[in-house]
Amino acid sequence: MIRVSNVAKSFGKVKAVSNVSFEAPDGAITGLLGPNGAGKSTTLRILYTVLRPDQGSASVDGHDVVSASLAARSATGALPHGSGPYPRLTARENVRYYGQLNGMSGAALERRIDELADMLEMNDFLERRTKGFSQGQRTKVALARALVHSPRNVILDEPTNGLDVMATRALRELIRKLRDAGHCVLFSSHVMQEVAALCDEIVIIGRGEVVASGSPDQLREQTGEANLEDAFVKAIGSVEGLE
Amino acid sequence: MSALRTVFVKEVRDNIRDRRTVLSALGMAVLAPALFMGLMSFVLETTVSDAEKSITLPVVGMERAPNMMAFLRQNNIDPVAGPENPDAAVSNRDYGVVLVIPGNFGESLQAGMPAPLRLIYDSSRTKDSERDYRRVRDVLRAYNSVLAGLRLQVRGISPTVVQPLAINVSNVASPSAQAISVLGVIPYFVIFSMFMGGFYLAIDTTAGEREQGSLEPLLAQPVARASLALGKLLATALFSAVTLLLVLLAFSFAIDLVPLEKVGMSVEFGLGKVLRLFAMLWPLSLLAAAFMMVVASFTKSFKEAQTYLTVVILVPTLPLMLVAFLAPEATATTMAIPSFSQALIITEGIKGEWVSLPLSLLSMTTTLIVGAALAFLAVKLYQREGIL
Amino acid sequence: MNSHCSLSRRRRLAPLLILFLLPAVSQALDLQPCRIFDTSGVQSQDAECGTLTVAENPQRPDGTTIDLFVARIPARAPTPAADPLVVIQGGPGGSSVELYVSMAGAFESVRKSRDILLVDQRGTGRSNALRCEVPDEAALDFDPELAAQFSRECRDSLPGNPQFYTTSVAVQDLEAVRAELEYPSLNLYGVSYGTRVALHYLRRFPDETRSVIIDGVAPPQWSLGPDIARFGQNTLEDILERCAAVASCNDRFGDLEVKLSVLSSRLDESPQRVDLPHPVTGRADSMTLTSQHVVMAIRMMSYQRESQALIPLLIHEGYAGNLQPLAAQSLMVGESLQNALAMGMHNAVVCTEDMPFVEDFDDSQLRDTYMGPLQMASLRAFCRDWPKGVLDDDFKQPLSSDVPTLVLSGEFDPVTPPANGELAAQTLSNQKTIVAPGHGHGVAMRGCMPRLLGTFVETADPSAVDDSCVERMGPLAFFEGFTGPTP
Repeated sequence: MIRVSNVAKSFGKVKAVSNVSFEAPDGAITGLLGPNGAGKSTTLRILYTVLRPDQGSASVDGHDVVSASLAARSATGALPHGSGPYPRLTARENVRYYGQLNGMSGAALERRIDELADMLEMNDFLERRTKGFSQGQRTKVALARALVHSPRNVILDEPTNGLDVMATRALRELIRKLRDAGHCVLFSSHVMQEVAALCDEIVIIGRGEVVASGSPDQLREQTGEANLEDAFVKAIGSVEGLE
Repeated sequence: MSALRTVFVKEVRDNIRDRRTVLSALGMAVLAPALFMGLMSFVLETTVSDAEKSITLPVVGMERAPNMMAFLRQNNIDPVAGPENPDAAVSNRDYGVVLVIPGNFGESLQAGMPAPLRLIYDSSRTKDSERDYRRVRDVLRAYNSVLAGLRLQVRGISPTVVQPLAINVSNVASPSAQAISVLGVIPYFVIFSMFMGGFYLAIDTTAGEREQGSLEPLLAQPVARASLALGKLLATALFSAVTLLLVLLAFSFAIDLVPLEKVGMSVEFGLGKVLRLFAMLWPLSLLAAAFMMVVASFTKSFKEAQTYLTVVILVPTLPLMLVAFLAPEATATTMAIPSFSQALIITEGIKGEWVSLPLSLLSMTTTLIVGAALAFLAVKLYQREGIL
Repeated sequence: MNSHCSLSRRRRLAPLLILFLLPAVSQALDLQPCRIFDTSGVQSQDAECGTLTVAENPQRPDGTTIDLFVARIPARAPTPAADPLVVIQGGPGGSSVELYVSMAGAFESVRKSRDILLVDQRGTGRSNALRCEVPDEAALDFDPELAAQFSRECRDSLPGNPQFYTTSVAVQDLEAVRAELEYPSLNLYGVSYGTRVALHYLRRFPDETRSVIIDGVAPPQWSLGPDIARFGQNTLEDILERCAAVASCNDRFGDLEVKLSVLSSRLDESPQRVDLPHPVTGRADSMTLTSQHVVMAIRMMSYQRESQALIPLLIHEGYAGNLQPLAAQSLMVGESLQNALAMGMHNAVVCTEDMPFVEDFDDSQLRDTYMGPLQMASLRAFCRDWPKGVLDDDFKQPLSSDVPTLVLSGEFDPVTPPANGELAAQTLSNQKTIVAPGHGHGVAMRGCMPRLLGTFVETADPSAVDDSCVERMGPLAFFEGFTGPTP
């Protein structure tokens, strides 16, 4: 479970996030929707602790991301934007490294890697060095790394970026499976259709703030639009930056 | 601790597979000594003439001085008939040196007047002209001396009369110490190689990770950033240290191939010396790794890191060129300066006149302290948000 | 005090006694940095020096002792070979240390990998030199009565008993130095009389001898004496023949043998007073030139190839009445010989190891030599009242050995010609003989010899020495006038 409370973050003069609050419950897919530069990535980065909030607080499974960052990270599996594997290591070695960093080892770790390989359909390229992998293969490796330690909370930043249609569908299937298994899944996107198709809860972010949030039905009600995508546009105030 | 070990092992394994890193380390280890040896051998071969190898000398007017020709032959110079236009012949590179005996040579010689000779050579061609010219000139001077001495003796004048001074020379430098004038650049090569050994790792583990997108997910792992930074640092230091050992070994082989005896020098650089040097120099690999990591932390891309590091490495290494010429002494001051003190240890070690143990320990200690400070800085930099 | 007490007291004292004995037992040869000089004191060189105290009479170790002066020139290599090269001077009576300084170039190649070890032989140099002031070397050589008188006075003025200053004793000194410095074996270089020392050391201590170089050979079975005049005559004839074989030389000088003979007769009849500037100081000087002076000058000038080139001109000029050049040579020769040799040691050797073995020679056979029989007579006179010294029983036996040996001779050596080298080589089964064309007595410094010495000592293998470079060596053209040879 992820809680964000009045978080603000500036980089120099630029206020990336001015006031963001929301909750992402377990067993649900929560989507952060907003145009590029809205503050989605910054918010996610604060959640997986590579950035610290200037104001406000956030927690993962009750662990504060600042004061209990190690515990927060242990409970999180993150897939940052543009994640790349180590090209000279094989896919398995990449995942094994992350497993070891999370305190796993030996036969148990290898079994988990095999499990992930099945789940993500990686067996074709598991023992190959990741140099030259397609975007889809790279994303799978990054996902496996994120999930190797079976974290309850999974944070994905624009995960379908650059993926082809088949890979996108597979990824969406996986996200649904994770939700069904009880994980808290939080992902960000600027693709309205994707968010509409997947999310149980939607948090719309514009210009560093939450401009609307709720289930798809609630959002339609709030904005008075019959079409979810129209509701999005209304909430943000413009089409710019949305697909 | 175990996270540090995990990171260290992964970095070592990963970078051993990097052709660029391995070539850089091995390349330096092999290239530097090979270059050095090749250069030294070349210089010695082309400038120091072997007085016992015979050379041919074209002589214009050979028939005018048969006894002088006989003396030349006794001294490994074989006269042959010279060309019609000797100056042009030397200009055209047909010959390196030509001796011209003019028509009045014999007359002057027998009359007791200085008998004229002309030597033609090309000073811009060191190996093929100047070297042989000096040989011929020296033999002619020897003939001059022999005749002069006998002329005095036969007149009843003791030749010692024209040797008012007998200059005896004492060179207090041992043959090994003398060799430093030729071998003085070795410390520069060794320390430069040490930096190059860890060069690509230092970049890969900072700017490189950032560029390929593997840094951010790594930072999201439940591992203290200090462990990440230190693991990478130690891997870099390991590569640097291994390169150091390889370079020392390569030099110990290469030195035997340089014809130092040609200039009366000799040096011993066996395995014992290699190990002893390594034992005192390894702290510098830690400092080098930390130094390069700190600089690379500020750069945004692999190319940028490569550019900055290449320039920045000159700071600790270029002044070492001076060590060769200035022959500085190992004092409490000089031995407290990292990189410089290591260069001194290498120089004195080659000479066989090892820097004293207290001063060597001073070098190791200050280097470790500076290295630790830089490591601390590298870790702090890694802990910034800006590392991303 | 009862015996029990004194016994235990002795037991307690015994360890202390050992402490007192130690300094005497290890007369440690402590080599310290020093400077060594050639005979004239002009050339010098850095070295390590020390003294080793040995018994004057080896049969009486507790008797009189003498100090041997030892010098070492360290090898250039950081880790030198275990065995040094010992350089042994001739004379007899010369200092090996002084010799090395004046010919160090010959051994540079060896010095690359080996120490050079120098021991002034007992009675020479700084090893209790048995010196006597020689009034006029030239006169001594040709005046038996003067020689006998000098010899007696010399014998009575020596700081030691000359009987113990022979080769047979000296090689034991060398062995003591080797043992003291803990060298496993020695490489030896001997020149002239030094070859006799080297060969006798080899005879006495074959296991401690790694290699030998003998230069200007005095084989053990050969004795100095009549051959001085005979070999000298051979060399002079060689010189005059070579001149006669060159048209310009022959035309210029004619029959030089006759001219010398005439000149000698003239001077015998009436020695000439010659006024001349002193060769060194330039001050007006004069001398009475006798035929013996001429003979001595020619004899000494025959030793080296350079001075050999002057002999025809000097004979010719002397015959023509210009005696000044000959007189000057005589003065120069006299100066250089003066006190170059420790005559006490010289006589100790010659009177023990040579003269007794040529006693029965008929000196009249030497009348046909340019030196004549007088020189031999003087030598006999030297030894008439001189006590014979220690001589090993096998001293004069031909020496058989398989130790690697390099036998060097100069083609025109007037005192130890190539035939001497051949004689020694006959019984050396592992040797190489090299004759330096055109050269005289002592060839180690000449031409490519230094390099060959280096190769030989390094490999200790005569067959590894490629002497083809020696073919380039040769004599100097004769001076046909005062300005030199023909061009």
